[in-house]
Amino acid sequence: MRFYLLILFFIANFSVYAQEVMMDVKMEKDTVYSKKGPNMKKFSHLYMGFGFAASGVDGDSLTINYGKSNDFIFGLRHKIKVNNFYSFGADLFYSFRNTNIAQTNDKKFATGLNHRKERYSEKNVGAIIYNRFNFGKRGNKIGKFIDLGAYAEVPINNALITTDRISTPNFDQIKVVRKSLNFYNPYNYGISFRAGINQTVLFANYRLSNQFKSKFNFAELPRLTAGFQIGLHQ
Amino acid sequence: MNLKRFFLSCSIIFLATFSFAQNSLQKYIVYYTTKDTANFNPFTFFDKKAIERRLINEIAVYDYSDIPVNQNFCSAVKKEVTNYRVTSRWLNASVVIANETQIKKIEKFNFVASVQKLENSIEPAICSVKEEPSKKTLSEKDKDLLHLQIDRMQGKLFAKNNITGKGVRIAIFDAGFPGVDKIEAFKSIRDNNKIIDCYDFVKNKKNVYAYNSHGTNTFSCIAGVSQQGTIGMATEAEFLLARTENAKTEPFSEEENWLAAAEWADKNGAQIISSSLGYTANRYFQKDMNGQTSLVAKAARMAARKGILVVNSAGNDGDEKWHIIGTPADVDSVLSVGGINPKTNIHTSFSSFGPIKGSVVKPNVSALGHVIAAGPNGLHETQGTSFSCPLVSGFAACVLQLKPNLKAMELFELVEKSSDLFPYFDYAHGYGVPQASYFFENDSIEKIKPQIKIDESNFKISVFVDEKDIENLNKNNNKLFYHIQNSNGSLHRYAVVKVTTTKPIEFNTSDFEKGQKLVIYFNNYLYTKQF
Repeated sequence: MRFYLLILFFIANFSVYAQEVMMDVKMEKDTVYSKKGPNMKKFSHLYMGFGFAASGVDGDSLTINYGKSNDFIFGLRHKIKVNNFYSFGADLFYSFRNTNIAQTNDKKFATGLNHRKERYSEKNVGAIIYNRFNFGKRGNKIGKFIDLGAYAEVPINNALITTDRISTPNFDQIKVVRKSLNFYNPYNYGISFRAGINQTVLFANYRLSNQFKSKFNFAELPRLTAGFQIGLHQ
Repeated sequence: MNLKRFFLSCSIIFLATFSFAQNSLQKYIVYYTTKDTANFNPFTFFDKKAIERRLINEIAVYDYSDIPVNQNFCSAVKKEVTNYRVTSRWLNASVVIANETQIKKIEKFNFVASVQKLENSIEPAICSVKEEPSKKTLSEKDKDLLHLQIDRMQGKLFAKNNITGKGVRIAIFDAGFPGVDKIEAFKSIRDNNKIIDCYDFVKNKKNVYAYNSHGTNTFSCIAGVSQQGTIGMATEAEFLLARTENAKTEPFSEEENWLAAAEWADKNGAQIISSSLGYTANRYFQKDMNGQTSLVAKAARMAARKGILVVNSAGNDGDEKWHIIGTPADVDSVLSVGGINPKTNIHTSFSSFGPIKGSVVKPNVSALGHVIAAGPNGLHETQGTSFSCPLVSGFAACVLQLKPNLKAMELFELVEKSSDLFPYFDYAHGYGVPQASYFFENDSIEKIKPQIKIDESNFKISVFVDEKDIENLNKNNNKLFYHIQNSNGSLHRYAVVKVTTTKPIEFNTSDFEKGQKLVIYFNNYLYTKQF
């Protein structure tokens, strides 16, 4: 369809070529200046990121395997520029978080039993509102910035996955996936800090809310997550 | 409890951020009120060539802007700031890095006229696109390209007439020149002491033979010689090498280095500045590309006023969102150079487009944007308007050797007039590729002039090429250029058509507005129709 429209355009327009057109530039006024972009009044872009649990600052944290506990984020970020120094905006995001729980004797989580492997998996949707402080004059680029914001997220799906060794003729391990869990709070919130240059962003989120209901008396998952994000824009 | 912690954290981070913003180091230009005019002697301050250039350009041997900045002012400012960058006699100013407290103190000095904030960019500003690995021996295809980058400008005509840029002084601004002190391509330059001076404005020291090899590449496109042939045309010119750009290792572009280097080049008698650098989206908006806004534009304009021909690459954003030329190629008195694709013999896709505000033609001219250049490890193919620029600089040096009494802007116009599309122009090619034959009437290379027939009837303009002429066409002469010009001189539309058949190229006259002009250019034939 597009192809035919293009042909129609050429027939209806200025010239009918019988030769090969190698270049054809139509000017609008002097030249066309972009009115959209990262440093214009409003700008939205997708982003993705990867973070690691990086806690240890709280005494109530569950002992976890840090390298194996991670957070994948995919989101849409909207920014409204007030002036060259200050902008504000909001993100909508989806995150997929895995926390690999270390099997210590004093583990205060779920069944309390030790397993060969134990992983708490959580899928969240959430939002961040943020203030952005830009440094330095820049062209139509995001530039250097620091974001300070607050986030809230709602778990839409979570599971506790445990793996244990068993001795049966046909199997040597058993993996149990527990769903419909009742021990987590229906939402989380915290503060968010980001520092970035153009598409590259380092972030740290600190959860202020307790992830698990107090009546279960579980140790909390690490509150701090840190990692990087890539803005999917020019 | 948690909410309290939340608000406390927010407040602390906000205050820390704000405080950081207020007290963070920034770059400033500190302008001074006066100069010490009493003891200035231009004949001891300037190189002999700088005086000569001023006389040829019929400008005063010196004016207020040439007098150095009062060193007492600089010393006083230097004591207060974190980092003292450069001194500019043209602007009567210093560029410094300081925090807000320091700058407030400086503002109170009675010799300080004003203070203006400058900004860093975060990406290198060099205009090369893609570099292939160096080769010990060139393939036949590479050799063809090496010859074409000279032949496309009829450079052999200069060589045949012993025109090699001799006596012309060219300043090259770039990101480093590793290998220039060692490699074969510059042996003749070294043996004949053609490098008059060099300075690293990034590190404030003399040695420029290190860092990014982009400068080595561009230098070779002006004056390099290989066993397979010359790489540039001005093989006997004199050179001033300035490192003004940090490039990849310390990615902070510094426009003030360009300014300082331009003043240094002026003082040392440069007649041509060849700069394959450009600043775009990292620092500016497209509307800023007006030849007025950027510091580097102001510096380039000033250099032109001092009688220096400033040649700058158009930029490599033609196929990027930015699309248009960068600065300082946006200055009307800077000869901006676009890139030609050797395969198609027209504009290469990455070469940035003009015009600048006010419909000033940019780029002004073009040259090959895909070249063979010399690097520290040998010859290699590379791309970018970075290399079109030095090819034209070398060409301009040859013209200046031929006509040593040309003023800078006369040279600028002659290079434009010598171009193969002139007087036709568009915003991709400018006036086309400069041709040496323009300067040698008797040696003019024969040009095929196919008959082009224009039929203006039935509310149509039909352009025909005879069948016998079609047979004589090849990739070098089968392009028909046309543009539609508005009544104010700006272009409404421009195009390039490859003529391969006798079928006519047709324009409906009803599609033209009153006051518009159709201009068709085909192998020296120019057709104009005013509506």
